Formats: sequence, structure tokens, C-alpha cells
Amino acid sequence: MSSDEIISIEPATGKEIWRGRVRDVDDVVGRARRAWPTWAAQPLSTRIELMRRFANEVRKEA
Amino acid sequence: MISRETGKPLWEARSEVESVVNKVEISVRAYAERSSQRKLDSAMQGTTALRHKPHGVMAVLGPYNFPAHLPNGHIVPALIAGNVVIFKPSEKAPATGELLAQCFHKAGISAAVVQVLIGGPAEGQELIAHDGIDGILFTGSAHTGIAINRKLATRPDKIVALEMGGNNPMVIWDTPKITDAAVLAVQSAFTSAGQRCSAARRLIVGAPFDEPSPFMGPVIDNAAADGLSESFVYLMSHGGKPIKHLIRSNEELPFLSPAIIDTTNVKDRPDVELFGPLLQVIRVDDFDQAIAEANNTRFWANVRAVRRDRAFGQPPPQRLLRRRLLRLSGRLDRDGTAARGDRRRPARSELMVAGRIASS
Repeated sequence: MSSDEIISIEPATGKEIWRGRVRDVDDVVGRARRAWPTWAAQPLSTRIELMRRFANEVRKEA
Repeated sequence: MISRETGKPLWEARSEVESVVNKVEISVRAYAERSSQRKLDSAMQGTTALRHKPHGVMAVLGPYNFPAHLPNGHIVPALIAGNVVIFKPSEKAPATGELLAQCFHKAGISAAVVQVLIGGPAEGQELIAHDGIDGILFTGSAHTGIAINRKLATRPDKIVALEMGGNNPMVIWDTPKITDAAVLAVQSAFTSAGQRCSAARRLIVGAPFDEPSPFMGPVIDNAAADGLSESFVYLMSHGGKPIKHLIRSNEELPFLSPAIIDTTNVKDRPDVELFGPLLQVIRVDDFDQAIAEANNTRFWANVRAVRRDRAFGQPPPQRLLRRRLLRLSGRLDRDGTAARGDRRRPARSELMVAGRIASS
């Protein structure tokens, strides 16, 4: 395995089922910090509504 | 995807998805209960207002055994409370992590509010040490959790929630429903191939019990299967008597048969969490010894006991015994001594992990 990729192996078969690039921690944290004020300023009811939509998306996926 | 990536049977993966969905309403209720604004009478003839504010950027470190449900149990409450989330899935279950994040994004939540950090232990360590992180919500082994706690001991500004496992005892004592008790023991020790933080690791009994017939998939990878095989051999070579052998039917794949080993005569039993389908049986002479043996560990996430009702009176036996175990063992009562599952630093962190205490 090259160190800049993460590979997921299906334990029941030993087959590779997914691979993805390792991400840069600084980039990810910087993006999160910039996103926080907007998200925190959303009304609670909006955040709750989005969580319910998320639950519906999970149901669709399953 | 959960089933393929972890080796869980489909029925179990479906129940995990159900838990993810249910977590949303549980978290909404928990937030309302714990974080409502309050006005309190203050001692100085005025009123004091209590309001709750979000912490900021939360790092969620997920495990592989419930790669969707357990991190989700941190992510949803954190988002409701107004935090943004960086989710680092286990490097053994990254695909499920990506899929979970996509569900947030499809729901209309900005990709910057829930980000997935794909990476291994090195990225995990870099993340928890990063100055831009206001809190760490971790689920995984006690070993890693304690390392995180140690690393952040000098950072009271960062909230830390550690959901860990333990060397969990289960006492079965003088019950007329021996078949039910055996089913309970098998379910507890072998569901998810023993890869649950709450799974019974040590069964403490006075009399023999029925042969089990469990249903489960492989453990997460070959390294985990190798480690469990070595542990089984270690216990055997130190006086353990196998009741059911641990069998690796295929050396190339991490399938293990459920194993039960009588370790009554093993001196200095290693007090570790053997994270797989391996249950130790410890035989004792009386109930007080059973309690003492149950408490003979530095850490647990879960305690169970099964006993006929007569001895306990009205409340359900498990609940009463759980209390009794706590009381009998002073060191488990005191805060800040032995490692214990669901231990949390500042009380405020409960805001973010709303609902987890009740469900564990």
C-alpha cells in the first residue's frame, strides 16, 4: 500500500472494495474553521430540519 | 457497504442503518432536554441566564466495528449544537465513512460542514494535536483512547469524549432459566464476531452451561484474527482449558469460530480486551466471589449479571446487580481512578454526545 492512499479490503473475501487518497489535515481543518461561523449562525430549527433530511437520505441509501 | 466492509451479516448492517436514522430524533430530544435556555434565581437577588453555545470544530474519530452508527452518534448531536465536524473514519472502514458523509451532503449540508478526513493513525494524531480543533469525539480501543487523553491532558480548552471498550464481566448465577441465560451469553459474547465494546469477555459462573450456536461473520482483518489466535494459545499454555476451540478455517481470511475457554486456573489472567469472538469462563464457589471476580479488572464498558428474581426483590435483577457491583467496588465508584467505558471530561461535552450514555 502506498502511504498516500487508504485501501479498504472486504474481510470475507480479501478483495479490495475501495481506495481513497489521504487528505491534508491542515487543508481540512482550515476549511472547517471557515465554515463554522455560517453553520453556527443557522437557526436551530434549520439545523434540525437538515438532520431529518439526512435521515431520509440514509433510508434511501439502505 | 457496511456489510461488505466489516464482514457483518446483512441483518446486522441493516440494524446499524436503523440506528443511524433513529439517532436524529434521539439527538433532537436530547438537545432540547439538556440545552434549553434557563433563567435561574441567583444568590444576589438577580437572575442568571444559562445559554449553550457551540464549541467550534469537532474532530470525530470513528471505529470499524460500527463504522456508521458510532461516529454518527457524535456527528449528529455536534451538528445540531452548531459545531462543524471533521470525521476521520477508521482506516479499516473508510468507504462507509465516505458514504455517511455523502448522505449529509445530499441532505443539503455544506461539504465544508461535514468533511471526511481519509487517513491512517498518523493523520489521526495530527488531527487531535491541531490547534484548529476545539474537541475530539473518539470511539475505539481503550489503548488509543488513553493515548489521546494523555496527549490532551494539558489542553483543558479542548473537550474530549472517549468511548472505549473493556474487559467486561458477565455473572450468571443460580437462575432457573439456564437456556435463556446461555442465549444471552452467546449473543453478548459473539454478536459482531465479538467486536463490540459492550461484549461480554469474561463469563463468571458456578455451574456448567449449554453449548452455544451463534451466527456471525469474520473479524475485521487478518492481523486481528492472528492476534486473537495468539491470545487463545497463550491462555491455553497458561492453564486455560478450551471448552470450544478457536478455529481458523482459512489462513488467508479472518474467519474465526466462536471460542470459549475456561481460565479459572490461569494465574495472572491478562487484563486486556480481547476484541473478538473469544469468551473466558471463570468458575467460582459463591456469589460474593462472583462479584469479586467481576470487579477483578481495571476497565470495563459493560457489566451484566443474570440471577433468579428471588434474591433481588422488585427491580429488574440486572439493574440492581449493576448498582450492587458499583457499590461493592469502591474503585469503580470514585471518579478519575480506573479506566472505564464512557468516561468523559468536562460535563459540557455531554452536550455534544447527547444520548450516548443512555444507549450504552
